Amino acid sequence: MTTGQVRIKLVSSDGQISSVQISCERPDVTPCLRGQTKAGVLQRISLLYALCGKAQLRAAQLALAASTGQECLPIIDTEVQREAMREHLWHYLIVLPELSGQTPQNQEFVRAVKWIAEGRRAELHEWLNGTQLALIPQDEESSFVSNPLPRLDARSSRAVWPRLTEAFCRYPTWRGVPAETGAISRINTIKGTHARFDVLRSWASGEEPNGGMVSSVNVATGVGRALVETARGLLMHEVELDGGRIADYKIVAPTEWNFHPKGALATYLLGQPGGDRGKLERRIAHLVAELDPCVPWTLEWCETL
Amino acid sequence: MCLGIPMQVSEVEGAFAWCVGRGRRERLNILWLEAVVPGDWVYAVLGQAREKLSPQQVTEINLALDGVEAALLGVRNLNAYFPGFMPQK
Repeated sequence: MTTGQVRIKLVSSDGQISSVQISCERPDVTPCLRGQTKAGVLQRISLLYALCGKAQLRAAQLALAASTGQECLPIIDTEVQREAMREHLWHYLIVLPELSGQTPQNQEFVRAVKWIAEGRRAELHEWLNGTQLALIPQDEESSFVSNPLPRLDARSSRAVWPRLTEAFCRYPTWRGVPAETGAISRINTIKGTHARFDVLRSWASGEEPNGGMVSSVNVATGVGRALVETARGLLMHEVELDGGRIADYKIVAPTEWNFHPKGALATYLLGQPGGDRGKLERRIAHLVAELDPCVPWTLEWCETL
Repeated sequence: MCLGIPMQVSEVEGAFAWCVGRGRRERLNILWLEAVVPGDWVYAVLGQAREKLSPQQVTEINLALDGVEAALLGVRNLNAYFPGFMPQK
């Protein structure tokens, strides 16, 4: 499938989930980027990325500049931040209500997304103070625990990861352990649903929540890395130039962090009661929405894995 | 990831539109866009129409997606899929 997907496969035996397989299948765009000039790679990246397009393009621009030593200390990029805020708004007003059987807040979304695009924080602030989205019912037995990826900028990331490897790009870990990024990583229970509201309210009141932070660093001769905080979490680009052309290009997206085969979702699912499939599927839908993949996802019940 | 596909609107139903593109027919949420009408081309991702596209953008993006698929099949020279840009060495 050209657009890629996250596949969740479950085996239920003796009333329990006995086996879990989570895989992130995404098309490798690196062959389209290798051999390109700087201008060429920017044009190709801007063609290929529909979601978080500003974040992807900014990461590419910063990584390219950093490859020749032009580094960027952490700074809020207004366009990237607004892009992230619009994603949070979508999630909060449209996705969350649908998941809990409520009416999506269509008109409110259309109105508020314009405020965000224009940076009109005061209007959003006033509206957020007045609105009340019904709470998602808290399940008493919720035991989803995420291992939050700490805040990083390009320089601190270089201390931890001197270079990005292909293996790391597919299965990123923090200190050797899978970790989650984005809204769900800020809260340790299923209450992570409200992290979206908190981020929006923080931005609306004039603060600068994590989304929109960009930075870059030179990691080796001809190699630049950029980190960008998107709505879904940390995005990393690392580009290697050779003779003015792209020798290699590595991207780690939030989806790779959040759908690691041994991450919080896989850990949570193993051992869950498998008797009531409908109930478990609804919970999984909630969790996946918070982990927020940038590709479609599927769930399969299998006899064996 | 984050790859979208160009799709053309065939019918609008309130906050949604039936759209066709790259062999698929999907009902997309069009809340991100204003004044969507049949015939419009949109950039579709995760069940949402995210942007309107010009005919030129549609051609360019479709070619680029063809290029990604060709690369997956082992095609090395992808210049034909990204016309107008500097050719690969």
